Amino acid sequence: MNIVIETKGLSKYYGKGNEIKAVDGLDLTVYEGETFGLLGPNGAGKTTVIRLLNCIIKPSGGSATVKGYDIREQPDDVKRVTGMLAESPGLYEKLSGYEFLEFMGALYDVPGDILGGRIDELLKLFDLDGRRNHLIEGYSSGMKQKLLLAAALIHDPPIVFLDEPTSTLDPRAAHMVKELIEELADSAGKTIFMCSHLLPVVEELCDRIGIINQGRLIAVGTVEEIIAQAGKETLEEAFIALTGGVDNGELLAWREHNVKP
Amino acid sequence: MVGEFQELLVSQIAVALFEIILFMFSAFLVLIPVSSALKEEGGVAQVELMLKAPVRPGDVLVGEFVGKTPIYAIFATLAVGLFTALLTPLGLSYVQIAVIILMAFVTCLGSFWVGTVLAAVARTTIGRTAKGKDIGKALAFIMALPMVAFMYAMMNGNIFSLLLDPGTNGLVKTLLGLFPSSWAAELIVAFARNPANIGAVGMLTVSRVGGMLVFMATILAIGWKVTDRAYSLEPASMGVTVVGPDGTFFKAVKQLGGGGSFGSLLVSSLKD
Ligand SMILES: Nc1ncnc2c1ncn2[C@@H]1O[C@H](COP(=O)(O)OP(=O)(O)OP(=O)(O)O)[C@@H](O)[C@H]1O
Ligand SMILES: [Mg+2]
Repeated sequence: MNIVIETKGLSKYYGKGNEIKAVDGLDLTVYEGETFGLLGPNGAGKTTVIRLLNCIIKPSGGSATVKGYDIREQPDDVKRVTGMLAESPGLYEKLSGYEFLEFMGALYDVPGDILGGRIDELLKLFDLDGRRNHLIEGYSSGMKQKLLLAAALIHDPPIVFLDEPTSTLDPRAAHMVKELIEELADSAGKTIFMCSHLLPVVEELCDRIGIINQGRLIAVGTVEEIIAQAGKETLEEAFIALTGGVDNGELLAWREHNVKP
Repeated sequence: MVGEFQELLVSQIAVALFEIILFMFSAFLVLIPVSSALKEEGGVAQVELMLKAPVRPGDVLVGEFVGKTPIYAIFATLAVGLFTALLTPLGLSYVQIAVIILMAFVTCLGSFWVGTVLAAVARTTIGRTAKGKDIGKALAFIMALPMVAFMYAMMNGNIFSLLLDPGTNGLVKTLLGLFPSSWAAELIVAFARNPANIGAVGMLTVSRVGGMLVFMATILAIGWKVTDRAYSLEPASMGVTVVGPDGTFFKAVKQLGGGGSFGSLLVSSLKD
């Protein structure tokens, strides 16, 4: 199997004296054509990993390659082979859906003669064709999410990063986006790297998952392997056990402060 | 009217007066992009789209600037037209008129470029927080005050008597002499005093035009560098551009831009 993403000791520290270890010595391998899910609690470092692998921020330590390109030395090459759906991305609200995709295509140097056709295809695939000339400010959040996913695919990248692709969507829209992701992996043969803390989504879509906590990778494998590794029955139980789940006493601790006269 | 204007141009207050007018005009052009950048909402999140793409933020800014040049060109043409109309009766040679037009044009574009860069920096720094936005708006307002004061002084004639005072006159020239807008002012006055005789002020012409071009190249380079640093998701800075409403004007520009990807790049920056 071909390796498309490989990280060695990848780290990103923040704060004075680097005391916030957002990502800490990450060793990870993702193979061509698979759907890999990075799971972790809030603040675990998932978004930071995606930003590092897309050369949006620079690592504090370690190294990584994406499709053979070094993220430190060849950022533009990396950016051309990856598409990314950010966690809370911005949109140009005053452009129409079509114009936004045109703009994104221009940023990625998609040749003019194929751009128009590709935009048409994407708009049809994402069921946005009827609203193509409407301003984005009038789109619902599900439509915006689909448009952003379309934008991430505008340069037809072999690797697609998705940061919490469904967490802000209603069940119907989430289902639709899930189906689209499945289709990208199965029919279009893309390598997908997604982050989520929604276990069912990851369980359903991902071939392999990694669990990250406080910047460190603590488990990696198929869903079954991880459940077995933690000695639990479900992914949820395994996730909570591995990430050092809070016990009930801790959860209720705040009440004591409040109850005090 | 022409006679009066000619008299003014050869008088001792001419240089200082023109320096003030041109400085105000450039300052105004610098402020337009900055204040619109501070008014816009929610631009910060878009920085990630920009950083994800294989383009330098500096290039995006240049694109944004080029995209907006049609608007700036309107201002520049206005300025140029005004100067030509005023200067033609003075019997200036075509070369002199051409030089003045060039200077006026470059001054306008240069001011807009500085404004565009400052706007980018403003977005990534003070524009990030609601409080910063308020401060920015207040700042833009305070910066506009001297202009209003000048207009007022101009209207009731006080400015002329003020500039007749050698102290004030000298002070204005020393302070504003630092700005490239003043180089254009000096040339205009020098030409008006030596109509159809560019040889008489040859050195001045060469040094001022040359200086202006060097200045332009320098601020282009610096602005590009500054933006590259300002656009980042690393701690301490965030920001990016936002776009305005669509219309036939933009459609037309898109066609002008080739109708393809470049055209849409133009439009998306033009709509800022
Ligand atoms: N620009 C920054 N400056 C300082 N600290 C940061 C910055 N970006 C992220 N961090 C810190 O790095 C850690 C990891 O953040 P990250 O956004 O990667 O988490 P996440 O796993 O994506 O969380 P979530 O599930 O909430 O999206 C957090 O502690 C966060 O506070
Ligand atoms: Mg996140």
